[in-house]
Amino acid sequence: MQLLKNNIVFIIALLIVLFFVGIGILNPDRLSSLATYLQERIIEMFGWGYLLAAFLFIVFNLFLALSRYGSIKLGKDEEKPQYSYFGWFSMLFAAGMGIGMIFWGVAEPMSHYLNPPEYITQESGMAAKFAMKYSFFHWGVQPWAIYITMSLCIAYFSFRRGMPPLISSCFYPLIGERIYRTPGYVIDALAVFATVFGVVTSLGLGAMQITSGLATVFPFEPTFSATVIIICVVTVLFLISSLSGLDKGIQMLSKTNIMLALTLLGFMLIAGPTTYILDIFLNTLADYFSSLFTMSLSTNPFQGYEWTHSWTMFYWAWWISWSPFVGLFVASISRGRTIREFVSGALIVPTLLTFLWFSVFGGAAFHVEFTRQADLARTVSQDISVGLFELYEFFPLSVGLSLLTVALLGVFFITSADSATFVLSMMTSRGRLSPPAAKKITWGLIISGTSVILLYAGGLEALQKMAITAALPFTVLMLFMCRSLNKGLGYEFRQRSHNPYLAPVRNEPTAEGNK
Amino acid sequence: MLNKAVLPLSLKEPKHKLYDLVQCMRHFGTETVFLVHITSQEENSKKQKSLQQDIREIAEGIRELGLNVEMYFKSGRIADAVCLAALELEADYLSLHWRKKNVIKQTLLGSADADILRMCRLPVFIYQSRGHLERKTSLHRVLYATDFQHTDSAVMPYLQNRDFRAETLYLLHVGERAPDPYAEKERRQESMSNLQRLAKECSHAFTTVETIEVTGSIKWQIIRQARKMKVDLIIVGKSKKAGPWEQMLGSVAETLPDRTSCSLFIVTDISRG
Repeated sequence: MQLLKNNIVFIIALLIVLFFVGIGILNPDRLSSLATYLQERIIEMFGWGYLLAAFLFIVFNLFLALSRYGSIKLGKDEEKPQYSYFGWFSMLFAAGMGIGMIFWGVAEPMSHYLNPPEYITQESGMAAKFAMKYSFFHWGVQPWAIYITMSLCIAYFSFRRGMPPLISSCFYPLIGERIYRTPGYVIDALAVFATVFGVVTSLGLGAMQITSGLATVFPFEPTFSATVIIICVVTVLFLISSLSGLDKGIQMLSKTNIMLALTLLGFMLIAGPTTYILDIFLNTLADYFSSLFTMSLSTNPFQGYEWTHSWTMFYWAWWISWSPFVGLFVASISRGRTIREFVSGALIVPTLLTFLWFSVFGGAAFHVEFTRQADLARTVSQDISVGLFELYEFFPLSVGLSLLTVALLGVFFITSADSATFVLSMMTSRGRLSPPAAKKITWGLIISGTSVILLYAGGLEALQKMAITAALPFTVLMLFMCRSLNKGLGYEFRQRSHNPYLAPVRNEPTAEGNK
Repeated sequence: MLNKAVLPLSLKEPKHKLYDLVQCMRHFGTETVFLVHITSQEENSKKQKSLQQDIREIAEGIRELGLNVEMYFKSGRIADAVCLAALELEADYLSLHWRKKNVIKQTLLGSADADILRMCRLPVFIYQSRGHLERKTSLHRVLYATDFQHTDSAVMPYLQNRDFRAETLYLLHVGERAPDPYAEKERRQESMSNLQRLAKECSHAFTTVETIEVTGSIKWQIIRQARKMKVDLIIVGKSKKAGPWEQMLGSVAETLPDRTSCSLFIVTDISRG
């Protein structure tokens, strides 16, 4: 009975995942139509809620960083950060959006340039300006504010208040002991559900991009079996990394990642149209900040409504559905930092690096498009995964760049899957910081196996849409988490004012702490 | 401590309810009631005579219940005039027959009773009957909602002095849940020991003193526990309003009368109120 209770979230989550994967295999069309219907309905009815919530998360983060709460440590008062700034930023970046940025660095500006909202002329200067501004917007402050909100709550309640690092722990000030009963299980199972589906689709789509990249360098056809081989190789590598433990594996991979990414970024900046790229960077930065407030709250009901639904709201839902995984991971690497340090670091550095990335790759793509009549935008519109590799054709050492990108994708990929396996095992082991190896292997194999099966059966995008539907309950849960964190911090300060020598920190979170 | 009371009359109160209110006041040991009517400038002499006649009849009824009655006619803004009269007459507390108003009515029209409660620095007794058919004059169970703050020093003398001649006293503390189970356990222990301390301090004045410790919304928990324990009177302290929310919507003590059908005794902490 105790064994069942200890694994209740694991069992519930596993059954839900297998149920949807089963439908995806047996009847992918039905899963696809159900997922599309749900996703479209939710975005149509609650899209405004996503925009508002994401904006509120920024306000909340800034409030925490700038208020008296900013000095509170995510851990014991005397505790020091576990990772150096470089290690921390590398892991933040790798888990947060590394792989997506490689995928969309060229593809997103080109897509907006070719298909802007109806009030902007296609393939015009205005469309290019719009494309860069909205690429910044979709990958800018909001996604990080969403991640930070989730991470802060988990880190505060786990490392400072001594509770297990679970999403349900964040609700203790609101629902008390009920976090150890059905409401808590539902919250954690929902987080597992969103994480598994998100990681499975990422793995599947990422493997396709690696296959496309390799096919541009080596003479082979990017077939299904090639993708399967890549998934198998990646699975073996991320399982080895995952079993080696968080400190060694993920940190080493993330640092390698960031070095590779910076090399690629530096090369493109120097070998490409440097002045043009820097002009785009500064100009878009100014555009972004001057219209951040308007973009943040514009549902565009009069013009560009459909575009906003299919891009901005989709992105916000995606970031929110991805937040349990990234939030838990980022929390686990941020122990010992103050709230102010955490918010400012995670909000500024990755965002600036993302902006630079989009400026370099988007700017280079625009330069090629305008000066060499490359028709890159139309190529991207046909196959998003080849955009970056097509761009390399116009640069020296294109084969080397493609190989470097494939390596980068592979390492990012392994890092994401590694951290996802760790987070899933932790969430289904009642928040144990050292989850059992058996669970890591189980989740690793489930993720990879599901990716392969759904790539074959064709239910991968449907699964992505199912993950996004989880964003709706998570948006509501995250708003309550803000309330809960604010209550927790307020309580701590009131206690401090009663007794300035009060040490609120408890022991290490353990499975027994759940009782 | 509660010998003399000011009872403002608008003459819209049903007489039987006024007498029920006075019956309740007798439980506090009240001997003298100052009936205060605030006259408006529009009232002509004929109307004034009729009003005076009505008040005399009420006074007579109260005297028959065994209390001394004095009548006063004042003019001015109702809340200001009542509070001033209470101070001039050196009353121990003020007694109100509360007429509930819904939020919209209260927001648009305001309420003289609410203004009196907000402005008065004396304790205020608010009489409410549970329904039209029920005549509630007994006082068996009393509930004091404490926050262990400065208001305790204002309220506890009344509880220790046997001013409320009830049999059972419930001491309720509505706390804010701590952020983790360990801190919550400590908080509960601290609350319970504080409640036990208060219970000990006033155990001589009641047959039974029970303690209740809960978490949640202060206002709703007071109402919930009062209903659950079937109390006849809720006692709360009133002090300086804390946050901007309370500044706008009123403190717990000020909003309770419109939310509960139970009678209330609200003690202002003069040092901070």
